[in-house]
Amino acid sequence: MTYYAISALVNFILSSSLGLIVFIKNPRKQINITFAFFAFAVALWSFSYFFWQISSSKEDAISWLKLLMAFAIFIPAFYLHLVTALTNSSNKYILAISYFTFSIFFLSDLLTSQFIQGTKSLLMFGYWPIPGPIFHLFLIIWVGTVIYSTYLLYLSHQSSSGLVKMQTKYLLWGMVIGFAGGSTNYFLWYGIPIPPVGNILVSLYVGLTAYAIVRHSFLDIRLVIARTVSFTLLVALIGFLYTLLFAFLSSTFLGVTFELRVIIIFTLLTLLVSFSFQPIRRALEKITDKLLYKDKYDTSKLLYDLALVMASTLELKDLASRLIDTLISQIRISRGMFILTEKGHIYDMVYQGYQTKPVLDQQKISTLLTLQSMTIFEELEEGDMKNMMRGEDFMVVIPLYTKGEDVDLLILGEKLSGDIYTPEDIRILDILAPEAAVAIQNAKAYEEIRRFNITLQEEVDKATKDLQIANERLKQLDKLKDDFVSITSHELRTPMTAIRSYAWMALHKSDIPLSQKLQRYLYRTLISTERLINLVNDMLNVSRIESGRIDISPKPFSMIALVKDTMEEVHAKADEKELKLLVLEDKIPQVFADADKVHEILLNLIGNSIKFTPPGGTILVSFFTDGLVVETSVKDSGAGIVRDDLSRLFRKFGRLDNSYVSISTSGGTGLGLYISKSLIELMHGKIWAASEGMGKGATLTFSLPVATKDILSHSEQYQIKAKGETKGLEPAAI
Amino acid sequence: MENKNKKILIIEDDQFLREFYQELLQSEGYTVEVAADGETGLAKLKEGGYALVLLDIMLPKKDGLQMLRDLKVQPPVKSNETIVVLTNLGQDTVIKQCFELGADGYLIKSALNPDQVLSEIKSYLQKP
Repeated sequence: MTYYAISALVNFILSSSLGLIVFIKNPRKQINITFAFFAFAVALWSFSYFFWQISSSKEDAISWLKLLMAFAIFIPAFYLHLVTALTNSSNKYILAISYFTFSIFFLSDLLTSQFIQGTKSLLMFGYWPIPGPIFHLFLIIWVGTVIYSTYLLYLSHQSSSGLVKMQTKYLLWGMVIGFAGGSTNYFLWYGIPIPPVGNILVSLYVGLTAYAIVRHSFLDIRLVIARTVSFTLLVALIGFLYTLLFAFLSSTFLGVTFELRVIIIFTLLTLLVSFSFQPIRRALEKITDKLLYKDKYDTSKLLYDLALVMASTLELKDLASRLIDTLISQIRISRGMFILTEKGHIYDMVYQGYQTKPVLDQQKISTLLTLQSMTIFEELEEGDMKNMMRGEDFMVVIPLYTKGEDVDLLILGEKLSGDIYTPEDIRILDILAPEAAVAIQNAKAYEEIRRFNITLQEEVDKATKDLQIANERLKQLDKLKDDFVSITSHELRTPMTAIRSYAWMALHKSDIPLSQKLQRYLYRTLISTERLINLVNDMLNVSRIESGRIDISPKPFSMIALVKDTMEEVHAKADEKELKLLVLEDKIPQVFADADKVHEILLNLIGNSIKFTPPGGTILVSFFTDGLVVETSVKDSGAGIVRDDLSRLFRKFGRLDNSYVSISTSGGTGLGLYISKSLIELMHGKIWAASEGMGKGATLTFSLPVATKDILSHSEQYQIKAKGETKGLEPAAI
Repeated sequence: MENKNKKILIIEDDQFLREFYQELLQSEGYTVEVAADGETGLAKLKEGGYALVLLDIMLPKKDGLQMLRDLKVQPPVKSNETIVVLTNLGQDTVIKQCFELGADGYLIKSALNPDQVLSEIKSYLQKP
């Protein structure tokens, strides 16, 4: 193995590596491709050169020579192309000529023997090529092209600035030295006895180009030589040097020579050992750490896990036990506990790693509560605190302070590995302490809220129960009232009936003729009893309406028909007073209401009119509709209503502002209009009165809903079911 | 007859009762005037000169208590000897008010038979 062969090998490895890197970094860019071609041409020339150097026969030598020259021929062509591309002075014509020319040389080299005629032994080389006539021409063109290209490169360097100048500088030097070194091969072609000593310098272009790339982003390649790569190269170098040293020492002192193969194997082995040392060491460390509990925990992971625990639960016991668990398992602690206090006394304890529940008396707790900050056993001076902690095997005590008054304690025991708490451990606990304090405070507050909520709920339940009882009582009272009214009314009716009956008998069935006076007395008695009965009935009706014991069962019917029927009923009475009853018929739709109740209302209104209209007057019933409601008006020519009274008309006979002024009812009960109003409103209608004043008559109007399709489809909304016992209305007074 | 000289005023809105009292007293020979509402009644009271006034409280237009108040403010031309409240209201507060306003007596209608009414009236008339 000669130096020349080795140099060729080195040239090959380096140039192909460079070509590969440049190409891979940007396979699409023209300049990268061009550079790669150049680099690969150099590489392949060197490759063939190596095999030529180690050829053992003439035939082999010539084949390799032809091959190496084949690549060497294109080196200047690619160089020219590269330079023109870099300097942006590409000229298609020149390039075409260049490639064309060199192609001819290429063909002559491979196909003829005019390029290389043969080989002869020169100096230390067994098979040095003998140039043919075409070679001479080739050499001239080769030199010319190289010089021209280099000149272009030089010009570019001169005219550029900054980064490009730097890049071009290194490239220029690389190419100049490289080509100069490579040109030392040509001496022997012409018999000049200088061996190609500069062959190795070809690789310098790789070095300088690589430098230009790494330091000055040549070809826009940002190649970050990572530490591992340089590390790898260094290790490879060390391994290689080691092997050489080994070979040298053994050959010097032991007289042992090694074949190339052996040297290569040794080199590879050393490389393997150096590369694998680090990972194996790391793996072994990990295993022993685990066995001896010294394995390091990931501090970020621990803090994250702790934060996760604190964020995920508000439940006090859960929070405390999970925090303890996380700390103990990751930092490898033997045991630990949370002590939760309230007003200086323990109210809860969460522990892990203890065989039995730890017992702490009040004195110890009070002592611990005097601590102001995290306390580590090792750092304490001898004293009561240290003795106490020693006795209980407390290695670290962390008081958790928050704005509240109660202080909780986090106590940790020995680490499983027996080591003391490292500064890193302490740092973690320092970070954890205030966060845990807040989390525990929140959990305690949550507890309190929960407790409060339960109490609140109990209070609400109690209040609800009280209300329910009160409501039941009210319902009872209501029923009692109704019963009382009903029973009383009925009790009253018995004597009333008797009075009425006897008065009537006296008046109508007397066995002796009665004087005028007597008749008047009896008549007035009868009238008064009737008034009484009517009053009782009205009172009963009012009581029923107000207690909701009235049924309203609406159906569609004709107002006109009902009015006419009612008129018939009161005809006699009207005739008595010589009053005219008139109905102004009109085309009106059917109304949707309870006919019985409307009948009572009509009786009331018409009855009022009869009562208040002097003889010879008229009572007129008329109608109006707008499609949604039907208004029925009862107009009389009677006493009229004073404006002040209009608003009080529909009231029960209650007192207004402390006075005893009464509405003149002229023998009526005073409840009729109130009952009418209540009933109308239960049927979704309205009632109102109008009058010009005293002596000018009055008009009472009420409205009821028309029996439209819409209303009929929602008939349930208009029905009213009486509560409890139902009864219809007592007959109204006429 | 003595009684003819004594004018009695009855202020009562119910027709039957009014006419009853009227008839009752006229049968005893008294001269009786009537009023059916507060305003008419007050007008007559202000004229005055009655030996006895039977005053109901619940009246249309003006109630009995208001009329008594008005009388205090504006005394009658000729004084009325006795004013007796004749009502069915029986609350203690009302009774008290009536006497404070100058009533001389208080009778509850429904509690009295006609002969009891007469004897009461006679006793009021005999008072000096």
